[in-house]
Amino acid sequence: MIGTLNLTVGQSAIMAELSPSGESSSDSTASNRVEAQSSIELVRRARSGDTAAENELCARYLPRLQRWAHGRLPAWARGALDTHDLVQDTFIQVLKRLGDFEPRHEGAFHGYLRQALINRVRDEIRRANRHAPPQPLDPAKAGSDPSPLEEAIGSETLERYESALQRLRPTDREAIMLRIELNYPYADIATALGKPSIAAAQMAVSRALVRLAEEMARGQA
Amino acid sequence: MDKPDEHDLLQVATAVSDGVAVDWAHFSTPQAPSQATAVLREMAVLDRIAQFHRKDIESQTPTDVRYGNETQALEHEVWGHFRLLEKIGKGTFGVVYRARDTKLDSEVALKLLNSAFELPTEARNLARVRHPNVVTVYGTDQIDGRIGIWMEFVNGRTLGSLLNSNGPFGAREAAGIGVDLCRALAAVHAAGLVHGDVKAHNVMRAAGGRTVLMDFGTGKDLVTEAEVSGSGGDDFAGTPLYVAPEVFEGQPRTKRSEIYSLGVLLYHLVTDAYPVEGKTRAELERAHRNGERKLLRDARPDLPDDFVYAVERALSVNPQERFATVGGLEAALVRFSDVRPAAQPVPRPRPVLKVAATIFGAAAVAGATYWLVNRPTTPASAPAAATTSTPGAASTVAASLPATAAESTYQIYTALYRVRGTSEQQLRTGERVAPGDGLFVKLRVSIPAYVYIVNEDDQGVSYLLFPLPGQAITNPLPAGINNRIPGTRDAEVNWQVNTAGGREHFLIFASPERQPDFEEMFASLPRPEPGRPVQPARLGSESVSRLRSVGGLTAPAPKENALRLAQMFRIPLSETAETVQGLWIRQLTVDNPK
Repeated sequence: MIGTLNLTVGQSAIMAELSPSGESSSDSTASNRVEAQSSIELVRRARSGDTAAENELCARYLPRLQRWAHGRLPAWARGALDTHDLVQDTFIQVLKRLGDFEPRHEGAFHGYLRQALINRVRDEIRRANRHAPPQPLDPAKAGSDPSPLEEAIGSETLERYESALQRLRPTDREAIMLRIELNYPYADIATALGKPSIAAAQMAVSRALVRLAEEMARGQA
Repeated sequence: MDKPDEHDLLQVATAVSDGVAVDWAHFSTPQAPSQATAVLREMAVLDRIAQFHRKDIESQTPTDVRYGNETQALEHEVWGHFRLLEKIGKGTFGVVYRARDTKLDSEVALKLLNSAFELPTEARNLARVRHPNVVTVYGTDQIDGRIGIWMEFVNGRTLGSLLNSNGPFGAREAAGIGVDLCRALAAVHAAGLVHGDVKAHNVMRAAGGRTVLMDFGTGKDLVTEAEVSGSGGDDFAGTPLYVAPEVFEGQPRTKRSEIYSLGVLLYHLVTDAYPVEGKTRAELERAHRNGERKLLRDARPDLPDDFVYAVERALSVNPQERFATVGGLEAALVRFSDVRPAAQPVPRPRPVLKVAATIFGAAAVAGATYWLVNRPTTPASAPAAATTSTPGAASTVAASLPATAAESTYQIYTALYRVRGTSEQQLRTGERVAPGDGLFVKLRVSIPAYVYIVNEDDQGVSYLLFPLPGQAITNPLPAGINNRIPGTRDAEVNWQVNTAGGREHFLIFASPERQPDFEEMFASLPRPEPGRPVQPARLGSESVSRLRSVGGLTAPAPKENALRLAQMFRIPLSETAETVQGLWIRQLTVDNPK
């Protein structure tokens, strides 16, 4: 029989804190309220322990990030659940680590998330290189196994892209990430970057692309 | 061309960002490379990166591609209270979009007809047909001069597309599809209607295996009629290949002509060819007149005789020689398929207890879920969707929301994990647990869902494992994330195995809707609390009897004191995500030896 609840890590006191109103997430008015809020406000609330806000953030951000991560992970780490776990886990860690980080706008939060994910993916690959990976089809290949994106454009090019991206101003980086990597519509990008119109968002992405290409060419020279 | 200037670069960047094809060769220059051409070269790299991400997203999101290969992102176009997300199909009479119903916050397929057409009465009629194998039409309306029909969004591929990519089907698989379609058409025919356009591109295989008959009565069949009986055009789409010979001669479509079309579809599935072929209408007519027809046996000598016989009989030139009803064809096909014979209708409980009747309400849903995979339901008696062109449409739709929500398809994935020391391992049927092991469930759903988890041991002692009061995770569980039950991600709480002996059955129930009857029944069950062992208890025999009526499926005759949930719900937990409707119940059994 399955009896006691085993509190291996946390304490029930913490959990009580996490769900102050018990049923809040099932209360439809509460979730409507959640929906109407900006992501920044949700981040604030999630940080103060509001699970409904955290769930809403997950629902908003995870699907795209998961697809994105899929393109960045080597095959052995790309089992559907693995990717989900990795992304979700990173997301939650980021939420917890945010601390005093006050995103200027939603794009900044996204940028932060992407960076955390990139770091996490690198960590995972390093870890796999050190130890045998969890269940690789071919252990010898695990470390050098390229991600789909790497396969598509080559690892040198990817490196040039990533490092140039890091040298850009944060807003340019966010514009590229939102449009080129995550395929957000311009309207969402306008909101995320605080642009007044769709046209302005489109222009911001185009200018960022030109600057990125220039930066990449500089790295090449 | 000359060296690209800043303005060119910006234009190219916009094209890259918009996903518009760029003619890179146009910019290539044989002259000494300048800084500008180097930048342009990098822009070409960025174009590839952008394309990769667009492609990657499409390939990973089966929900993005439906009725064909055409997808097109849309930005904030609206029709009424629908936000158009992307174009997923196009026909002469209109365009099909994946769209979000902003009032019900759900995804639908929205077909917008060109303005020249009137509200099709067939759509109205077919909205009455509710069957797991028929796409559910939710409503239709005319807004801004455009008629739209919104319906269930089916996540899957058409048989035509499957045939193209995988080649011909085997007899068993084709027969299974045929059985599903017979059942779908039986529901359509029972409503006094004829589908009129049965073909490989109008049948979807949903993720999870459900066969769904699509695209009827929404203008498309009118196209077919015009194409086939019209005297003008010689060129036509593939559809006339499915048309029965008597319909070519001007007779109306009937149930028997529909059986012919289904026969053509089955023939096509196993051969990738058609019994009567022709490139033009005239050729096809001539072939029919001359009896030029390739027999299935000649096309596929390896197929079982009875399958060939069933298909050939459906394809009889004389309608009277075909099966009289789709039921006849179904009976002939069912033996080759993995599908079980049609279930007897579940006997309705006598209205003794009000609560029992309510439970049976749940049973109908449970049955639907089960039968989606294994056998058909009798056509559901759900209220018809709103089908009106007045502004009142929305409120009528909203009124029918509960039925719609219960029938909406969703995806679910769940797995049971064992925590032993610091290691976590996914448990599969037959694996072992031992006292001291921690257990948790990982569960992901595509829409918010109410989840109930019960543990039962071999003695019939049951525990409610979820939902538990005082935990951070509560029903409904949010969509799109891995929920770790019972523990949150921050505080890893597990259930703990604290005695040994026999086996442990885990029953996981999920539903888009709250199940008050489950909650009431499970309320009597003991439940674990932090640090405190629980007192064993059983479900009262009355409760179990009530649950039996929920099952009504595979429950064996009850032995005294041995009524077990585990015996009622014996569908094993799948290791992959399943696409289901309504109430979903799965079981996982692990050994817990002494």
